[in-house]
Amino acid sequence: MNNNVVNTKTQIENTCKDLINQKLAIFHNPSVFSENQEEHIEYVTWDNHQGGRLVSGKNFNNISQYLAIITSGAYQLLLFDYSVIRCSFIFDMKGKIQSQNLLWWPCPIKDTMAWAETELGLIGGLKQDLDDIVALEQLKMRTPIRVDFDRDIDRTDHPSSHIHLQHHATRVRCNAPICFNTFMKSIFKNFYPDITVSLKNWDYLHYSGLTRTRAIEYLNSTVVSF
Amino acid sequence: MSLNIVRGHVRNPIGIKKLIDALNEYDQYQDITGTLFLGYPLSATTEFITTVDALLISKSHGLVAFLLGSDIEQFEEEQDSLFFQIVNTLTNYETLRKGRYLVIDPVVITFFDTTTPRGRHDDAYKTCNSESLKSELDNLNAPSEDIFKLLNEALQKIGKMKPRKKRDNVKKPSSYGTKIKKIEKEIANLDRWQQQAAFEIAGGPQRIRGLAGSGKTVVLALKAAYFHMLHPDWNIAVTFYTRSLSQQFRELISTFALDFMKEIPNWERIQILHAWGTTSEPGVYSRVADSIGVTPKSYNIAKATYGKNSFEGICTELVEAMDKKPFQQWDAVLIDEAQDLPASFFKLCYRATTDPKRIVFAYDELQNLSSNNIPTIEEMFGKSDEDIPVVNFTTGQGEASRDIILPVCYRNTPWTLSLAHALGFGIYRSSGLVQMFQDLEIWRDIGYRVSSGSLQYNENVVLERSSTSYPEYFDHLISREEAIQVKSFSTQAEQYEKVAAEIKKNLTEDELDPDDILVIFPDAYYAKRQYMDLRDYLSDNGIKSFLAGVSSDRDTFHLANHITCSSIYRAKGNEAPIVYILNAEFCAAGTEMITLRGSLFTAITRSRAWVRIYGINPEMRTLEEEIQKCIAENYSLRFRIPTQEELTRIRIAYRERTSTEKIVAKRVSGQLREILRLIESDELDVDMVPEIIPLLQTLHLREKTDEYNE
Repeated sequence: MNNNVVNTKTQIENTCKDLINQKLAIFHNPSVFSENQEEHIEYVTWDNHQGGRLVSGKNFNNISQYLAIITSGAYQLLLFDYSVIRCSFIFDMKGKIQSQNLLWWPCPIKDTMAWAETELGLIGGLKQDLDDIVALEQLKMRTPIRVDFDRDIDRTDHPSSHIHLQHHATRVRCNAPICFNTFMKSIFKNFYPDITVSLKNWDYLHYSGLTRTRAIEYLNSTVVSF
Repeated sequence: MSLNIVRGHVRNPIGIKKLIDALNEYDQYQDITGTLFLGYPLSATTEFITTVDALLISKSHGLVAFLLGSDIEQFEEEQDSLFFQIVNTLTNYETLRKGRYLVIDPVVITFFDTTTPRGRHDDAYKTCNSESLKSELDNLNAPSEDIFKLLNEALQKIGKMKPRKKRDNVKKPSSYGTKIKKIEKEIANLDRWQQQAAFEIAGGPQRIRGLAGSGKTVVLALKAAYFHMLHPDWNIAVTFYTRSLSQQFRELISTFALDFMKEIPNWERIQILHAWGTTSEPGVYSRVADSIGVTPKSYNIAKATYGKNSFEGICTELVEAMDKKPFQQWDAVLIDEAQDLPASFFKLCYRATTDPKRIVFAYDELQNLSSNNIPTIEEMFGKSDEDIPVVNFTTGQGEASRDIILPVCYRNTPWTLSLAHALGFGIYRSSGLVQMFQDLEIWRDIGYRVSSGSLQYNENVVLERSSTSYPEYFDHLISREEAIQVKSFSTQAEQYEKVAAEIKKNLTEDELDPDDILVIFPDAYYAKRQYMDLRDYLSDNGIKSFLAGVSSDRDTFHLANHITCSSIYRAKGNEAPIVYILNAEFCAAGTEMITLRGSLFTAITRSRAWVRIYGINPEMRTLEEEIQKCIAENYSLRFRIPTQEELTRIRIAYRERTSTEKIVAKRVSGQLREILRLIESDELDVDMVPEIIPLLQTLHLREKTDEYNE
């Protein structure tokens, strides 16, 4: 296993455990490592990859995708509010990052009850809440955030590094791929402003040589500001 | 008398009574060891239903089908038809075939309840009445022991119920795998109480009580299929509290319906419904509410209105609405896990069921995970205007039983069950009992015998499992030491390391499969955390695992090649050959002892053969001591039965607590632990805290008062 791969996996596992200890996450599924000799690539990813329509990109902000992910356990971390964190990194055999996918799928229900401790179990409880007409008041509309990187595709409508939000075809350009901890830090900082997270033991990885140096020309684009 | 009668559907009550009287008379003269099924379900199609008026399966006389004769001209045709129906049914069972023939010749006799029958009478066509029954039976031969057993298995309709696991990997003669294979092979026949519970149709509500593993769910599924076969136009509801039972009921009822009717059941008529229900998954409550135009209340809104008693509250509301707007939608309602359902739910079912109110409910008092008492029959069904309970379970002479107890526990070894009761009730707990049956006779009903003392309030008693309360094979296959193992560890790490090593041994040497192993965490709140820690140790040993309900869909309890880990709530209603209960110290002591000990009882009784109870010191020592006392008493229960007043006090003391009470208890417990630590480490001089002395005096005084009261 290449150093970058080892470091990435170690970072994910350590941070997941740290967040569990900080009581900011409630369940952790260990990442898995695998390699594809034919394509000369190595992965660090979540266990139990499931295909199908529900988890396809087009269902990016569909609640059924959230349910499909938690039902199959296809994630690394379940945050304290039942939001899902999952990520995968692909490296070439020299350890250079080839692509990444970092997802925060916010739990669509606010003040979720401690279903995991009941007879219904976590998934049964969430489904019950979603089925529940009265609980519609409890629905919390938040867009999932997915940070992607793909070394091989770099177009004006699909920059190598980009963030998906709100719509599956929305791609907000980023400068470079980021490590898991940078991702988690930005999720907590931007979407959980009331939560205090201790970052004291966190390290950060830099995937070298990929920082964008040229400006992208957007054709017929509109400047979007937040 | 050795003739057991199962009173199913009776077409001709007068004729049946005469036949039974005649058989009873014969039984006085020569033992008929066997069962007489009334209305035995042979086969049915949507157009044509065949039940046998009375089917005798007997060790002394083999298989005899009685037809109640009415028309002397037609009896030969009727006999031919029935004979071939029986042959057809039996031919389906490979075990009953030898070459091209059946291993047993069924006999058909037409019984006339009036005068001496006439008509042709030869070896093929037999007729009789009360007087001539004896001579007909005398001519019949007894089948061999093996054939009698196979016949029972085939005709008791559960032979095909559970596809026996093949267990091809089992090779060693005395491995766990070999033993569980033998056990699985044995659990195929219905006992006589199960037969009664499954096939007897009472003219009103029917109660089935039984321990965990006594076959309540199978019996209810059989009953639903039997009702459906006899009355395909009936609307039948099968309901329960634990959602995972839904799939189990669907599979069982399908199997039985296929067996009875040779077709899948009409799910429009048999409705498998959770007691409550949601928008996408209707339940009994939501369906009744919809029918009378009331918007069903969801879990969240009910909880906000009624708190802990949310289901009771919304059912009460609905019952009041039904009194104004009656609506009956079911001809029969079968309720499993009745111990978990509130009284108002039964009132709701009562109102929603047509006369004569065929409500069949099964429960196990000890499996109630909360400390709420099971409601009384009056609370469940109410009283008439004259203040008389509308339902009673008294069974008249010659009637189908209304109150059936299943005394044989097939799931647990007798030692495991005794231990589960000892811990569940706190029999050997140094601070005394935590709960007790209100009706002391229940002890006998559930298979205990009084070996010394007296089963009365304020008396000493010793109870032990009676030899007929469990299947014989446990004695031959599993020793007590092997069945139960208890251990306390210094740290969780030490505990998990040991468990992972043992599970590895189960898989590699003991010839068990991953899905034979169940790990239970009694503390539901910390189950996720504890599982994640254990998972690392399992993973280091190459063992795959998952946490049911958290890392799997809600209905998944077994995953191929994975061992199942579960919190106590998800484990309910499931079972496994070997059960590991980890961090069991959680149940040793606390504020809600009835709930805690109920959880421990439920966890232990998930085991079909072996149970391992592990935990961390020092609290685990409390449990270990209780268990050792039980073992020293040779797995009997020796205790003083409290007085009724004491029992009331016990219930109040160990009841479920409000969240405020729990917060106070937790805070005080933490403070006391800190005081203890400071004193032990000499960091605190007791003299500096004057409140300690009055505290000790108060506790001492209370103890003395309790002793005096006892």
